[in-house]
Amino acid sequence: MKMDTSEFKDVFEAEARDYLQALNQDLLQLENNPDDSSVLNEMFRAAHSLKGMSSTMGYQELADFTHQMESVLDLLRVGELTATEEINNILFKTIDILELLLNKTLLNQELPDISHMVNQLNVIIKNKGKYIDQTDIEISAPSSQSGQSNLATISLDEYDLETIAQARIESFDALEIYIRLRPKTLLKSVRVYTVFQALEQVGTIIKCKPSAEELENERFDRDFALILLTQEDKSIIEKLINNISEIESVIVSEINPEHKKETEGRIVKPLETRENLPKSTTAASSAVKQRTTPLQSKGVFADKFTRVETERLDNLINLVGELVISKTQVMEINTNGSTEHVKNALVQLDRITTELQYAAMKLRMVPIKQVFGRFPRLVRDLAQAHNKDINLEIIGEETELDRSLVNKIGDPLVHLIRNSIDHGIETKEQRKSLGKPPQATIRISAYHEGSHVLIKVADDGQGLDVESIKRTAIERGLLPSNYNAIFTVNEAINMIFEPGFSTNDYVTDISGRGVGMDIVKNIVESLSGHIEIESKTGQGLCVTIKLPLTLAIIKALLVKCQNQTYAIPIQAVKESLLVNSNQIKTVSQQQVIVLRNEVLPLIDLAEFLGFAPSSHGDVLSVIVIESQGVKIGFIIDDLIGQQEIVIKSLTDVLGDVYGISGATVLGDGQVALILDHSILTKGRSESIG
Amino acid sequence: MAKTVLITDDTAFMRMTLRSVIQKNGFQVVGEAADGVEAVKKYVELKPDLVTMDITMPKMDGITAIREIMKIDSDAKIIVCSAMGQKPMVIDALNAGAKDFLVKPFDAQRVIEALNKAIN
Repeated sequence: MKMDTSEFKDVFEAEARDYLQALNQDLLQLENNPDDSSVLNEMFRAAHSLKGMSSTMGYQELADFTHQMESVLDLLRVGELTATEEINNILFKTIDILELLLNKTLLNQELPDISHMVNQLNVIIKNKGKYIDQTDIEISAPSSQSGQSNLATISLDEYDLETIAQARIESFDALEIYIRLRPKTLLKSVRVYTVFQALEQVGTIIKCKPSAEELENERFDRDFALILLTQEDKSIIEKLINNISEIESVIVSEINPEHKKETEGRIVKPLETRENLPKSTTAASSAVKQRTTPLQSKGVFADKFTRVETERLDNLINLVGELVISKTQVMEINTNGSTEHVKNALVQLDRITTELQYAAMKLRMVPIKQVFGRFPRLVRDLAQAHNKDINLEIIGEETELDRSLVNKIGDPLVHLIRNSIDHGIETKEQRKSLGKPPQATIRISAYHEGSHVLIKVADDGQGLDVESIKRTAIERGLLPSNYNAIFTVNEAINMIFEPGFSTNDYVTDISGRGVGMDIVKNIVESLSGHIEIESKTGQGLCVTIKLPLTLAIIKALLVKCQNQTYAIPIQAVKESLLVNSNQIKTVSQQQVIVLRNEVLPLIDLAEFLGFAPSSHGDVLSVIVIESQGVKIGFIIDDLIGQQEIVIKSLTDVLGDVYGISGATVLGDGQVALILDHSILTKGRSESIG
Repeated sequence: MAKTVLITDDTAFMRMTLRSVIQKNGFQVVGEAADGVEAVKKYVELKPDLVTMDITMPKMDGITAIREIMKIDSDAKIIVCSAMGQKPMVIDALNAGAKDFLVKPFDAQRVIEALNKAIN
């Protein structure tokens, strides 16, 4: 009966990822302090726990590979191996492969061929240390079928007979005991040890077959036999052994003394078993001493945290959202003329609901540490690859923001860091000749500002190379080839955000895919955020990303169109206008107006949404929406106003509806669809030209 | 009355899997401990009939915890939980007073057998 572990898969994943993260962090620490035994112990423990969890889930490849890593860590821990740069690099690689294995395993995908890495680890284990675990070797190579069940009677020599005879005088019986272990018994030798331990309580074992040494090294299949001198009845012995786990069968029989020759002589102490087993345990206890140096806990899984399925959390937040809406309804009904009592109760309800809403929102908040945690490793790898010396400072990793944001902001930040190291930071030699400290600094910081989170990636490199950006822009056809005017830093900044501009001529094994700054900007804007670059030539670059604290509640502008209410995220709305119909001109079949010397295309929202164009009066309500640098005026029926709305996603039944990013329930119970501003302007820019 | 069990393991995942198996088989899990120190503390507090004890744990390892518990209650029924490759430690744990041992990956039947046998 295998344990059903499928229901624990999520917990497994979360915890496994924590361990991988911890391994990465510890390894970075180890790199700086190669002799720090507490870090090594911590790593060993992480690998060990991961191994146990993986095997419990039945993820054998993951467990086996983790075991190899653990063996290497053990060598390091006991000082048989030194954490050289080479070893560290291999360990980093190992963690990466573990992560890959984990991902593939969780997705039930085919596992990659990792034999190369396995060999590499094996070489380390074999050459530099003696920690080779017998039991584990047997797992990989199925145990030899020697010593299979044909168990011959234990042959007794003169010494044995003497011993038995002497024992009989002292009214000890000699029992011959055959024991068969269950198939697939794990740690057979230890199981045998428990049998010996139990029997030694009630008597003396004078002989066993296979020999104690063979038993200890597990050079036997499932059967073994022994001779016990005891005063206990054989049924008691039987019961005693049967109460040990994993024993399939036991046969106890008395050795018939009549058959044995009685000889006189001294009692020998032929306790082969006694001599051998305790020896191994002394060796073991010294090993244990090494293993039990006080381990420091990081308290990652301390009791003060509970892991909750994200789905449940979202559910709760949804319900709270409903409650807030329903509260608003009740408040609206009751404003006119109600008793003091009802009013007081309502005020109370209002307060509690608001607090509840706040508390629920807090649940979605996670420290940005989750994202920042992988940067030390990234910076280390990149710095090594580019032969640069970089000190990474991380500030404010406890800063909290919405979980959904945390998941999405990682890639853009990685890209920024890559850019810094690839383009911003000079080589050690360059830095020296510029009079800068050879070690460069990248500072990643996060902090709250009002209802926003600010994330900064700053370096002390050379800043934007304006000339190079200008050249590239001309090459990519973003600037006319005869562009001669002065190209300012600000123009350079705007240029790198242009789609199709990407100065990366590099393809390294780490960066690989080259996403441009335009993609970074798009992602940030899709999160209702904002990105800003500050460049000081020769002194460094600072990129600031400003994100809202949460995406679950947003400020939106409510508008009417075809008697339907729509919500538009407020940050996309630049302004609202009243336009006289005679101001509208038609340029290449597109209605436009001129607004402050700029041509603004006009689109009827109803038409955009697929309704028949509505007839408006002479004065039109227009809202100007900007996304990704494109401005469009949308003609609407009516403007309702600003409001905070709780975003609800459309269910899977509807799937992705073009132009709609979600829905919200208004105070009066009506549903308003939320327009996706990035799509509103998309595809229009070309046709408008 | 159902026999009570205290589960000790430093990973929440292992505690969860053990808990589910143990509870499905008529035992009552009265507590969980994430390290040896906690296990000793909870043993005194909860007086469980049985304890499952992981070996490699922060603060205090399982073997030390077994010794500490045995000092307090020489009748304690402790089952040590080990992973592959911990043979010397398992033997140490048995010498320290553990009644039985389990090897990860756990097999539900084995877990229950060990608990039942330890209680007798």
